[in-house]
Amino acid sequence: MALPRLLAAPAATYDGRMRLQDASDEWLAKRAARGDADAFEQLVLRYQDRLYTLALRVTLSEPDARDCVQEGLISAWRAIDRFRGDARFSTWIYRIVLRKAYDVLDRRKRTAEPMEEIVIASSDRPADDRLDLIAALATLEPEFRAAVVACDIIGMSMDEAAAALEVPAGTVKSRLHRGRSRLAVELEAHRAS
Amino acid sequence: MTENGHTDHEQLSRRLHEQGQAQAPPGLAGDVMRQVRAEPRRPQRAWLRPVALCATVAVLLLAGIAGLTRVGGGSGQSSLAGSAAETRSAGSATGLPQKNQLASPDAVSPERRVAGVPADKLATLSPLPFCAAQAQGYALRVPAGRYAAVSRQLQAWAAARPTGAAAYDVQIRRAAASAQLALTCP
Repeated sequence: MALPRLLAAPAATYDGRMRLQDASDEWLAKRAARGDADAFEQLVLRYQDRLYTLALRVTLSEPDARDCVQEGLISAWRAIDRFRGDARFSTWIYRIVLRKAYDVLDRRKRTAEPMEEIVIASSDRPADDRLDLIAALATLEPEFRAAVVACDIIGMSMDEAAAALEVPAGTVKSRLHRGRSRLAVELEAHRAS
Repeated sequence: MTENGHTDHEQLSRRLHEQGQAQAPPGLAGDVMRQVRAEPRRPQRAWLRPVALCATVAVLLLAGIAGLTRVGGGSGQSSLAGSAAETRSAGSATGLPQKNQLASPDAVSPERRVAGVPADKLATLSPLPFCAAQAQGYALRVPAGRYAAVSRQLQAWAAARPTGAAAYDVQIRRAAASAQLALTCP
């Protein structure tokens, strides 16, 4: 019974980057909780693109997205001993970064920062349809946009998105449906103009 | 949702997945890890948390038990003493000595006993009841709020007792705050 588990899990004493790359998120998180920065680095490398995408599509700003991811990962490092193994690491880290992104949106709302300058990120390739899509996504309300980004762009399951967005799965489903519908209308309007 | 609408959503979803991805800026992971390594975590001692929790619970329980013992012991004693005094008082009113009259004073500690209180002074507090011949003194039931003052007063009277004056030993019993000051047989 124990043998397959031993074979599946990386040995507690590893001697190279290859072993860390093979490790599961939860194993790496446990190592990180014991102070292993290399294990945490592996998680950073594994998730940085997805976290950045999530933050960028929600905040619509490259500098803000970068800050969200950086602050979120540092917060995760500080709190990783509180990460419970019964939840998925991905859900936990998505939730942390999403909270940072929502904080940015709240701050922006309070300071009335103009949206026009931050709608299209410069890293988006200047292909017309892609610009259309990103611009249409930017017109959605943040909660609808977050549901669309989580499920469609990042590829989270409904349950995972619900946990990350901290709303019931039914709410995610409804926001996703309404978000997609409005996105379709926006894209149609873009095309017509 | 119509079939057409469903297909639209699926296509949209696919497009979003293909075109919505972004790459993290090149220096992001490096910056994060520099900060992470600058504040190394102390490895958590996994066993320490439950031990600390158990120790805290034990200390709280002990403190609670000690507190209850103190409060419960004090009030229990006073209520017991009070009810015993009332029982004795009722007994003495009939003029018959009670069976356990002499057993109950065990609960009274010696420092609550004041010896040689002049009878005339004692009578100013409460009428002196008639007790059995072998009784050497009286029990004084005192409301909790007046306990210290009455105790001091009795000691003062005892100290200033004139030679040859009739005197009694008095056991002071703390009663509930609402109780009446009363002398009873011990």
